[in-house]
Amino acid sequence: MSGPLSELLSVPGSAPPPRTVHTHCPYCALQCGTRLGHALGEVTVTPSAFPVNQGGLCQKGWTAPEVLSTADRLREPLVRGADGRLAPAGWDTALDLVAGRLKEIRRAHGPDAVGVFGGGGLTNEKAYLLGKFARLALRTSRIDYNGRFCMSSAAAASNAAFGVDRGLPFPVTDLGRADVVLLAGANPAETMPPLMRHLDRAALIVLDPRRTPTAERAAMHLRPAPGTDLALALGLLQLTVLDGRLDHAFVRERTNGFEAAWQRALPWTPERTERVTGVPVAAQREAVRMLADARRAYVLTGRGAEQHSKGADTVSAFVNLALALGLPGRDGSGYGCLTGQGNGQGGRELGQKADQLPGYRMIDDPAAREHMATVWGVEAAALPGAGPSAYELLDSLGTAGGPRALLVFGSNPVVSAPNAGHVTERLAALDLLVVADFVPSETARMADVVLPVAQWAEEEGTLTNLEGRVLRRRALLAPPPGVRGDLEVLRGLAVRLGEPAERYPVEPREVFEELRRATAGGRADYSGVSYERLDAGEALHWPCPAVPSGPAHPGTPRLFLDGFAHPDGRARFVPVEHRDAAELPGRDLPLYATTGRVLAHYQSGAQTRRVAGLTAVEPEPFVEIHPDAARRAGVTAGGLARVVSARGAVVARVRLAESLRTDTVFLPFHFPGDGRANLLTGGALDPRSGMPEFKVSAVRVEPVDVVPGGAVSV
Amino acid sequence: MSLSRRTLVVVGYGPVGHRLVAEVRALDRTDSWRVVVLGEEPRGAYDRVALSSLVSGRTPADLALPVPDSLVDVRLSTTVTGIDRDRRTVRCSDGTRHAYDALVLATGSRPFVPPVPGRDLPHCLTYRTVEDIEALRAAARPGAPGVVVGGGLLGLEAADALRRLGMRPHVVEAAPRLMPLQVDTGGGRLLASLVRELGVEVHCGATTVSVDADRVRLADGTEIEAGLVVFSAGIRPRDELAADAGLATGERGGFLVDDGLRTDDERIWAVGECAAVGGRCHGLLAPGYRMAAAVARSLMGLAPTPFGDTGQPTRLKLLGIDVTGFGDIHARTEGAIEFSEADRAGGRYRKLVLGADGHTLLGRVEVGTAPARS
Amino acid sequence: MKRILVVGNGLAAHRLTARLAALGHDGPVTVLGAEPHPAYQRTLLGSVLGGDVPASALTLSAPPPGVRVLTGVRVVAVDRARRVVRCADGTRYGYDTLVLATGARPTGDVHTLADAARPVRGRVAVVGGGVLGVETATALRRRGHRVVLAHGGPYPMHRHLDEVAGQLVAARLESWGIELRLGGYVPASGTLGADTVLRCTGTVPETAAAREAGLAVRHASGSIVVDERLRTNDSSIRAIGACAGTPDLAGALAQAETLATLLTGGDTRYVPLPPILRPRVPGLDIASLGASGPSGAPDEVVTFSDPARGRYARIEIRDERISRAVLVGLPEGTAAVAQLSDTGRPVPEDRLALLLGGRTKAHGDDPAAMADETVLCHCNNVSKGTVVRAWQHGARDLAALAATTRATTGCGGCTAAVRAVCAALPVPEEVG
Repeated sequence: MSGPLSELLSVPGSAPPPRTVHTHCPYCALQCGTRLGHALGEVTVTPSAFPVNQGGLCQKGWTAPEVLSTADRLREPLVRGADGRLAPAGWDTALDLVAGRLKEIRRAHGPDAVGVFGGGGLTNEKAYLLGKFARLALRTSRIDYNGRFCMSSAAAASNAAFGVDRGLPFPVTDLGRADVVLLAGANPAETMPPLMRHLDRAALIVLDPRRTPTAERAAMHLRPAPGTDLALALGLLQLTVLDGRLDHAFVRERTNGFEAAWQRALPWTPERTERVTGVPVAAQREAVRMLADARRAYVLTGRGAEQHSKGADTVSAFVNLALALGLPGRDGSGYGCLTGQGNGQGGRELGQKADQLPGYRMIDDPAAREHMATVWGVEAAALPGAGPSAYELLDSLGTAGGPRALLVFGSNPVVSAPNAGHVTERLAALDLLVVADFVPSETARMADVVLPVAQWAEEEGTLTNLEGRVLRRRALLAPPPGVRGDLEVLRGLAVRLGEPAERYPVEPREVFEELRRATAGGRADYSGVSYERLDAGEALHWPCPAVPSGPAHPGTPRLFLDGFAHPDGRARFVPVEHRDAAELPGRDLPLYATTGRVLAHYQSGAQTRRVAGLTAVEPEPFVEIHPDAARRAGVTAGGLARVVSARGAVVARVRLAESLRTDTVFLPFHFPGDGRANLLTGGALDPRSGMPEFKVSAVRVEPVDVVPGGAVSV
Repeated sequence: MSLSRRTLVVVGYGPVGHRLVAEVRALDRTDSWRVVVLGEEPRGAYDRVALSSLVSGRTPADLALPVPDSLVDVRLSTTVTGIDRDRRTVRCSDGTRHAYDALVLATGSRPFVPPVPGRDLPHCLTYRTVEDIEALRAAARPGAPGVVVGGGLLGLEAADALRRLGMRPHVVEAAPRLMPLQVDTGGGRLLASLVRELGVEVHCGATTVSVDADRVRLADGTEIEAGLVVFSAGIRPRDELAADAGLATGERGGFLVDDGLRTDDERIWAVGECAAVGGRCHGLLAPGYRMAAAVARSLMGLAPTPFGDTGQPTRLKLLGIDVTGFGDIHARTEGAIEFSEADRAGGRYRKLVLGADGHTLLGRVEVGTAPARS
Repeated sequence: MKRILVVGNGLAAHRLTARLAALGHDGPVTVLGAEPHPAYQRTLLGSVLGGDVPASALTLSAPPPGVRVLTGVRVVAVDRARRVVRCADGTRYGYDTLVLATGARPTGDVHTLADAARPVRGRVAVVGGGVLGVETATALRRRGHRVVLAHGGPYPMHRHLDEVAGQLVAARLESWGIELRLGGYVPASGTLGADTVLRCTGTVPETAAAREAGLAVRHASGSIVVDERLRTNDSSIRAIGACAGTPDLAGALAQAETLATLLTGGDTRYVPLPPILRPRVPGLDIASLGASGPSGAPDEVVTFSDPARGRYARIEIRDERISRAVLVGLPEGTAAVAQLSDTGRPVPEDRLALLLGGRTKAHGDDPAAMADETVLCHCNNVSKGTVVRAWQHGARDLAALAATTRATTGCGGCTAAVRAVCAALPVPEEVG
């Protein structure tokens, strides 16, 4: 007998193999509920009646099991030999090697010479233990994760406005009762299709320079010029006041700081806003009217508004708008952010972030440090301070003051980081690059040591979805022999670095128990959540504090109904000004390039590019361009084009889109090599959040000469 | 046993009459019709559209349309003077009579000459027949000015002919713009400027009040010195036979026929410029050819293809200028939207008339020298 | 320590001082404002008139620390030799750099916060049908007043609109119940039978002191001549905003920001944007772009006329770029044309789509006529052919189709199309 079943039966002492398990899709933050099973030696998946996806699933979810058995799945550690090639090695060899090198580097250059890069796809347990490992075993401040490229702007804005950051401070199903929903820079019809089931009833107002499938379903589609969402939000705020739709009572009773924010909006007359953004006055007015007249309305932001060097301020402007309309903190209305990554929420509050400790605590907060020191059994003073954000960390690799070693867990920065060409060079400049992954991603292929780790269907754990609900991930099978869990890997390294083994449990359940204590009293309080309660089917949204006696805390599906999380219980308007993107089109680079996702692929594509059905739909990098712009650039539909920015060039297939602005092109970022859209993007960062400007680069498009025989001459 | 053939008499041997004969012959495999064609002009049918080419060196023989086969009896220089519907015969100027089983009137039009004093002076010509062109060539003096009265399609052709004969043409048009039926104001404006660039002087909104031996006087007092005047101010259908024969005519002339091109006499049809289909005459050849084809089918007992005005765009090319016009070019439909692009640099004008939905195309005008955009 | 003295406390001055602070200027900055109020958003006066916001809502943010703002102080003379300004109340202020931001003086009544806040009673006559007059008349009408708008031209805004556009505007104003008196001479005094008369006859740059001090001004308008670095003919004196010939908000703010950069050591130039007149009349989009008055012949003229719906546009194109445009009732086109004009981008080929904001999608392909390869469910890449085959093999309801093909399991948006495709299929005979 062969196949996954046999592997399971061969694990000694294990419980009888489950026939089916309830778990969740490994991809985006929607975390659709799925049931995994076996049929004819294959793993099968069917969507479950989980309230978030209501039996829905997109093609990525349906085909996810194929990655489990992909041909080039990593099945043993790899170590780069003297000949420069990666060769199989045993675990002890690999871990000894890594630990040994880490000790050398730390001895010679100090603890900050080792960096850690985590991921928003890691389970809560893995994210927590990774953060602990970095602070205790490595004593480094150089830890951050790829979620910085996803959620950081909205997080900064939410914290400033509400005192806490939970993507959706209400259950997803609440959206189904809305009359109007404004989506600023979000394209859920392509990025999380089952969410659209909850948006069927509402009239949608979509803000996006592109006419996406989501925009097609909108009652109103506003197309601001790239990089002008902030101006638009300011203009909408002014119109809210001018057209008499300010919720005076709400502003007076539940907020602070309106005056200062209003004064920043004063120069943004409807006409000036129209001129700068390209959104007609009449459309701005109608959007405000729709939101204000609705009985239940939501303002939601996505990466389109957030991935800018002013992303945090942009979100703040939309939050200000929502506050002016009296939406947050009401049952049936609110502001929310559509988290993108599978554990984008949990991953940003359990300590893998540069400025953070578990429970959404701040690493520079003495009380937080004391608390964690107690939980971890160390001295507070021994804990490192805050470190640089993700791009700053990557930018500093292999430089004079920067890390010489990097451990990467659950991320593929060669493809997903901005200024990818530069980041790749930085990675190459490291003395030691260690990558834990389950496929040979582009980053793994650069590593000195590759550690094969388990996939979602092979592990237990928890993730926190976009509505702040803690979900159980359950294993259908054991990982292939030779493949370990990340927790085990971390313990293996920690022990070799001199840490006591007990500090690094390898059982997810044990890690979770510790995580509960760690987050107790923090803003993201998981202390009342337990595997038992989750396995019993309870829907637990944090905060869910442990209760000493009496019935357990039911969790908090809806935040802010009784007050916001600032000490005075009020939400805060944050005064913000519009400013230009870091670079604007000019004579040599006359177009805007914006990047994003397509339905068939997920993030860097390391998983989805290994699924035949998905690559059949989207086999190659493409650039979407308006026919007029194509003509002027000398490129034709179906041909190849080179897209060039100040930082690099991408070769992509030309697709014409009449609905695009004539000054804007779009590239998906899922492809490797010279198809990496991030070769174009730059490292201009948002000063509040560290978010890079993925959504605006200045580019030009030019034809590529193809030599007969298919070779492309560059 | 001999086949009893029926007799088809065709009155008029212009291009449409010629086409009718050709269509009948093509369909009539069993030669069931004997065809008699009575043509007023001394020559066989010729391509009237290419008339202007006679000015640049072609001969009338070059314009001649193919001679029909021996089952067609062609009588030239034969004017029909009357129709006797009871006896089913036509009378000719030479005294002969021809009996018919079916009669098709294809008498065409005559040029309309406005009642302007001096219009009968010897240097005043029309622009319709080979004879007219020959007279024009004889009268032309290179370098001298000539006036064309009428700025429609035909007038512009005549002006071009004068130009090619080396003269300096002036076009005088009463309407505010050239080709007033096919183009709108904007198109007319561009057309006028393109025409002027070719060396033709244009006077729009100008009515001729008198013609002297050496000049033409306009209503606003302008005098154009010219020793040659060509009247191409329109055509009138040749329907003189109607009154005597008791056939109804259209409001503006022409034999009144239905969609099947039949008069109220079931044996008599009319085609071409002389036919008022539902009361409306058509001054271009393309509709005339469609009429000829439809009548030929009817004569052969085939399912009739009603002549409907399919609203085909008029597509003309004169002096190297493309002119297209069809439908509601003046946006008279209620709620219609007009969208125009006047490309002065490129010498192109385009106007679309759309329905209230912003999509449905109700009419279009295009004037220009550049290749058309979609 | 460079002393910067700003004369004028309007929008341009406010932006200048804010930017100076943001760029780290550390010398003393003094602002002398003639009006008794703190700086306010003048371009929103119409909203005060219309009753949408109280006057207090227009107050701009307080000046940055270190900036001294004195209100109710009017400068009457500039002593360039001594670098001192003298005020009406006799006080004097010295400068190293003088910035004139004195704005424009109304020739009529409606210009200041005080004007807008004054109560308006009864029947109102608005004299002057330029931009300000049209905005004022409609703002008051929205507030329920009876309004008559008197204008010397043949139609409102006749200096900026062509006749077709002007007549459309006139018709719309009348449809709102505003009485129009057009053409003919309008007496400077006289009440036109109204209880309140508001003269909206425009503004002239406020440059008396500048002229008397010998600074170069433009002959026709009286605005101060400045170069691309906003310098007057006295290198210590700069000018920005309406007094320098830039009355529009965007231009004035841009000049303020450029000057702040220059005064803090940066190197930049002021590049004027093409003028855009965009009156604020809720419910009626009017725009006039580019210089009014005669200009060179354009390469192309595009017109759009839809009188039934009150829509009109006339666009002049030169070198494939917008050179002039007038638009009425076309919000999408207005925004798009303005952006093309500002950025100097070439005009796209489909001009009709530009004016109407893109072509609307053709509504619903007939599912029965769709080709087999057409993708019905994008979330799961399911073609029509796949759905049809599943149907033919016995999947006769949505649940069965979803189970076999996965169609409709994603966003659910294809549900209607899948139903329609199946409805068009014949139910095969059951084979016994």
